[in-house]
Formats: sequence, structure tokens, C-alpha cells
Amino acid sequence: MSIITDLSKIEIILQKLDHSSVSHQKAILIGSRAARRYLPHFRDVYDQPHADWDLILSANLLLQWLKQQQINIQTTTMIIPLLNELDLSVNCTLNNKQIFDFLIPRSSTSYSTFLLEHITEWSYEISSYIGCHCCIPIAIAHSRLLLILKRYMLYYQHQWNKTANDYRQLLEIKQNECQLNVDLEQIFIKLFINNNEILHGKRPADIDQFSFSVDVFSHDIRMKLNEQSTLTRNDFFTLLLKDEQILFVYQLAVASSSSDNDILIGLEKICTKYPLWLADFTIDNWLDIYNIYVFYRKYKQNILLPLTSIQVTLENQRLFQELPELVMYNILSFITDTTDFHSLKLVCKHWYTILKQDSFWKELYLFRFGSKGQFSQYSQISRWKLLYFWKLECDNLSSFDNEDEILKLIDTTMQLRKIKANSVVELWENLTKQNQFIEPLILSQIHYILLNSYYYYLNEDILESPNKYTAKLIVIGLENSRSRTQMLITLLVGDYGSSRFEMHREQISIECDSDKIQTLTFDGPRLYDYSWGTYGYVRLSGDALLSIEPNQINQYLPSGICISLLSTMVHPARRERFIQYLITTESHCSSSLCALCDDMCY
Amino acid sequence: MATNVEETYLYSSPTTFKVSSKDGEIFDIDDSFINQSKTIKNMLNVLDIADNHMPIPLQNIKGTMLNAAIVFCKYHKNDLLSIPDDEDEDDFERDAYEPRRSDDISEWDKEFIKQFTVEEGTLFDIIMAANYLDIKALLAVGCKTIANMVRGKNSDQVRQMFNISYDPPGEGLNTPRNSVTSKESGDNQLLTTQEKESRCKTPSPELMYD
Repeated sequence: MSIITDLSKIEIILQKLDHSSVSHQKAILIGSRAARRYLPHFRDVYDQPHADWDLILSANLLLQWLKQQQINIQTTTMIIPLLNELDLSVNCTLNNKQIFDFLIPRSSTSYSTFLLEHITEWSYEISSYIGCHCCIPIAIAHSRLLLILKRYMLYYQHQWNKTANDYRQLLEIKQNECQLNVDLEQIFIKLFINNNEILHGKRPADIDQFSFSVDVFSHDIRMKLNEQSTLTRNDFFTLLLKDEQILFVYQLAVASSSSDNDILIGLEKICTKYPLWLADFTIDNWLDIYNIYVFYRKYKQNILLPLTSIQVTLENQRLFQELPELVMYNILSFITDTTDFHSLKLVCKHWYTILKQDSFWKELYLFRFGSKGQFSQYSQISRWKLLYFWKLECDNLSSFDNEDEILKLIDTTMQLRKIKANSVVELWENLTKQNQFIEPLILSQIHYILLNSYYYYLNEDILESPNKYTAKLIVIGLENSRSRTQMLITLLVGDYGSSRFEMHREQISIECDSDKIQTLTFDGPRLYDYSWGTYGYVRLSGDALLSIEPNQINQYLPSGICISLLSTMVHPARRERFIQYLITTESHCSSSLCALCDDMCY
Repeated sequence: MATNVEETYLYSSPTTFKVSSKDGEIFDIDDSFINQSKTIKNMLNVLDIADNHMPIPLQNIKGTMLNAAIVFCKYHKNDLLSIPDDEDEDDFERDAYEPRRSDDISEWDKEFIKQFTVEEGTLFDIIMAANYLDIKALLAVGCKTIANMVRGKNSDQVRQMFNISYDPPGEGLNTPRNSVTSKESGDNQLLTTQEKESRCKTPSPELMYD
């Protein structure tokens, strides 16, 4: 680019750095090394050369560093943008092949200056992690910051492929993101965009409609588009099915990329030249789009994939190459603890792929429970793995023989698995009306419990008064990863009190049976320390159910999170309304608090 | 059961036969073995061998394994009657509803199988032999032993136990060092959903929770 000069002599670099004015005391580590901190599944690659150090820091600190490392430096380059408001960039390779990329702010309006000024908001302190490599006090960028950086980076042509890869991984950890001031974020995004627009050109406006040449699309897509050459966001998402949307972007990308047929160029154009919503869609689905391309290159045929992603089915489902399938099923049928399968899944890629296939679980199910199993219609079974696990965990507990009933229980179990650990935390926050800090370990435990609980009995008596909803579950992981707890959750919904004070009330009672039986019963008002007195609500001064302390059901989980978790496990027919009821009760209680009783309390 | 008795009579005139293993060793087998190995039983019924001096070749089984299987059958010759025939459908149904146990291996069987667990791979050999010869009891003992080895272990321990590498050869951590970068930029590589997930997601919370 014409606005940049390159330097590679260290003396000149030192000299240039002297002129730079902005000074800060700390550096921020960004990029893949910082990302590694937040990606639980990222495997350690400490000494691999492609894990470079991306640091944002002031000129002073860099000077200091260069002086320390001078003998170790193999090559160094400096890039000076001709425009004054852009950052300097210095790239160093050390003798031991480590690569360092530094970003040094030159003006007070650059986004990196902004980051350095708000270093506490944008980063975590870190001490031991990198102490041996340099003497600069380094903080590690927040996952939120990395996310913003990557997302907006994608709208420019700069390192698109690598960025897209990183971004995908970062999205996975989005849920643990930190709390940041929205204003700060806005300012940062603005600065970042400005900076990038100078470097890489203007972003497309956020328009709804765009036009293209309809000839580039295959026949069936053209039919869907009615041969029109413009498309609005609404049409894109309503006219086309998901497969077709992906195929559309794929064909558009192929057409946009020039002669050398590299789809990444086409995808880059879509992200830079087309409307933002299409860019977002492309970013979210880029792997699927890319897969079509790879598939096409390999088999030279253009197909509409039945699934949005290619599923590789291994024909050989042997875990041990030495043993045939039947023997392996024989071995596995002796594994009766479903948690053992978790560790088998993580043994290696091959095992993981096999144990993820539903066809594998179908075979195992048929081997174990016989071809004369209970199901008259195999075609209606879509979750063999869950069915198999359910059979292992619940078969002796459940009194249901009817196949429809069993499938219903399995569906309900599936619903529970779809609930995110974060929604449980959200519920807690909604109930307490304040942010709650959750240790990652607890969050992980909630996640585990939601994935390892099985309903084995469901019943609703809506003819009774009050209506009674009963759910029985086996919950794995409440005490340790292998502990099983039988749980009976009963929900009573009805009216309470008499005459003009009659109230709607929902009461949940939980009976836990692990080594000893524990029970917990509460209703909406009790949750907030209210009670229904003779003339209205009375405020209690008891122990709050939502307090931080562990409760009697489980001594490891904070009470509030446990309550929230159990409330999401109630009978699914009533789950949503019950949670709604819990959330709204407090305001209701306080508004109708009996004035008389209130006086008595004080 | 009546038919079984008749079948037994069919080949009961010579009570011993000779079998030869893959590596040429010759063994004498008697009723205890023939009755428990369905493969041999069927073979004798079909072949109708009168001359018991010709060894029956068992090309899939090593001598040591064959010997072990014969020892196993000798010991278990008396509990033959209690082992149900797996083609008996009633039994199959009953089996389906009972939880499978693997902690019921008898002391003798435990001692017996111990000789195979020491050396790597031979446990698979005896299982394969049992599978080929169709000796239900031996197969069950072998399978239960493997299931017991896996029980309660984390993935690392399982990996070590069976000497499994995390990635397929040549990929991931097994990549030759210098080719890391070239592999990543190679665009011919078919990225699969599975790979994507195994790369990005923690497949189970075990990593953090344990």
C-alpha cells in the first residue's frame, strides 16, 4: 500500500520510536495467544512457531524491550503508515523462532491508544504466564475485545481467512464474555472502524437490498429467485431454505472470485462489498460454504447437499482395529455407566467420530436390547444415543412400557439438554435482579447436569385442585461427576387463601434421594422472603432462598443457582409459565404487602 | 435340549479330535471343547469326519490361544448346561431387560484372563479366538474384562491403557513439526463438521469438571 514505508534497520527503528509521543506503562496481549487463554478446547502449542505474540504497547516499552532482546533478535521490520493517525507496527523474529508483532499508537485518536488508556476494562491481569519471555508488564485482552476485533476485522480484506478461523473459535466462548461498559465498546468500535477504513477502504453501507447477475446461479436457485436480479434481506431468509442460502452464497462467491477460482477471494468480496447482513450470514456459515467448494473441487460435481454440512459417516465403526464390530458391541454392552462413555468419546478423534454417529448407537442398541425391542416403528426414533443412555439409566426406574410414553420422556430429556447453563444463570440474575458472578467450574457443572439428567416419569393432573404436575428425574453430577440423584419435582398450581384475599399460587416441592432424602418446598413469595398472612403478604426475616450460601439440596452449588436449576427441571408443560411466575412474584408481593403487618415488622 | 443330545451322539464315536493352529501346533480336543465351541461343533456336524487322525486346521488362531481356550473349556465343562443357547428367543428377551453385569467374573476366570492382560494385545487375541471358535463363556469373560478396564477411567487413562494416540497418524499433535503451517494453509483439506466441533467445542464438560 502506498501509504506505508517499511524499515528494517534497528538503529533507524530505535530512532523513529523515540519520536513517538504516547506513553503507557503496560502492554496488552491480543491475537491467538490471548485467545488461547479463553478457548477451553485449544490445545497447548507453546513452542510452535506460528503462535506469535501480538502486543499493543507504547513506544517506551518497546524501546525497553528492544534493548533487552537486542542480542536475540534475528530480523526486525517496522511499518510506518504515512498518515499520522495510524499506528506503527514492528515485527520481530527472535533467534529461537519466536515471532513478536507490536502495535504502537502514534496519536491520541488511535484505537490502540484508547485500549491502553482503558487497560483495566479491556484486559485481565496476568503474571506468571509469560514472565520468562519479556520484562514488560503485560495484561491479556478480554475475550470480548478479541471478539469485537475479529468481527470487525472480517469486514476488511486483511487476513480474512485466518481471522475467520479465529473468529469461529472465539464465538464458542462468547458466553463467558466479561461485562463491559457499552459506551466504551461503542467508542472502541468507532475508532477501530475509522482506523480500518483508512487502511483497507470504506465498508459497505448497511443496506437491505442488493443486486447481482442472476446468470451465475444454478437452475433451482434461479427458480426460487423468480429470475430476479435483486434480493432483499427478507426474501433471502424467507424464500430460500438454509441449504439454498448456503448454496446461494457459494455460487455468488464463485462468481465473484476471479479466474483462479479461489472461493476465499469471493467470500472476501461478499464480506466487504455486499450488505452487512449477508456478510454476517457468510461469516456464520463460512465453513459450510467452504465445504461445498472443497467437495466440488474433489468430485467435480455441483450438488445440493441434503444437510447443511457434510457429515462423514465412517463405514468402519471399529474402536479397536483388531476387533470386529460385533465383539466391540459385546464389550460395550457391559458398560452400564453412561458417564464412562464420556471419557471414551474423548480418547481420540477416531473414537469421537464413531461415538457421535447415531448409526453406531442404533447398532449398539439393537445388539444390546435385541431386534425384538419395544419399538414397532424404528423410523420414528431419531436419537438412538439418547435412547440407549436412557435405557441404561432409567429402564429399571421407569414404569412406562408404552413406546410413545418412552419417546415422550426422551423428547423431554432432549429439551432439558437444549437449555443452556447460561439461561440458568440468567434466571438467577432475573430472580435476584443483580449480576451474579459464577465460577467457570460451577457453570461447567450446571452444563454437565443439564446434559446428564433423564426424565423417567411425567404426569399432570389438571383435573385436581390445585393442578398437580409431577416429574421424576435421575440427575447425574449433583455431587460429583458420577453421583446419581433421584429427584421428584412436584408443582402445585392453584388458588390459595379464601374470600377476597384469594391468590394465585404455584408451589414447587423437590424431593432428592441420593444417600439421604432431602426435601425443599417453596412458592413464589417464599423465594423472596414473603409469606401469606391472614391479611396479605408478610415479610419474613428468614434465610433467603436466593442467598449465596449452599442450600440443603446440594452443598456445592450456591443456593440461588440450585433453585434456578431445579425450577427449570419442572414438568415441561408448565416450565415456562412457572418461571415467569417466579420472576414476577416479587413485584406482586411488595405491591400488595399488608400495610398493617409491615408496620409490625419495624 | 433333546436335539442337542442327538447332535452330541453324532460325533461321539471318536471322543477326541485333533486340531492344528495357525503356527502348526497340534492339539487334542475332547467333548468339553466341542460342546462349548459352536464353530467346531457345527464343523464336525457338517464335515462328518470319521478319521480322527487328520488335524482340523484352524488358520485364524495361534497355538498359545488355542491351548488357552482348551484349558478354559476343560475347566468349564461342567457348567455347560447352565449356559443358555443364544438362539433361544425367550432367553434373548429376558437378557435384554436385565442389567448387564461385568463384576461377576469368577475367581478362576479372573486368574485365567490375567495371563493375557499382562502382555499388550494378547487380550484381543484371546477374544478373537473365542469369537472365532464361538465359545460364549470365554468371549463374555474377555469382553467383561475390557469393560472393567475402561470403567471409571478418564480418557487419558484409556488412551494409555490401549496405547491409542490422540490424533490419527500425521495429523494434529502427530504432525511432523515443519509441516504445521503448510497443512493449515492447504485448502484441499475437507473440513468436516465433526472436525469443526472437535476443534471448537469441548465435547463434554469432563475437562473442566473432573
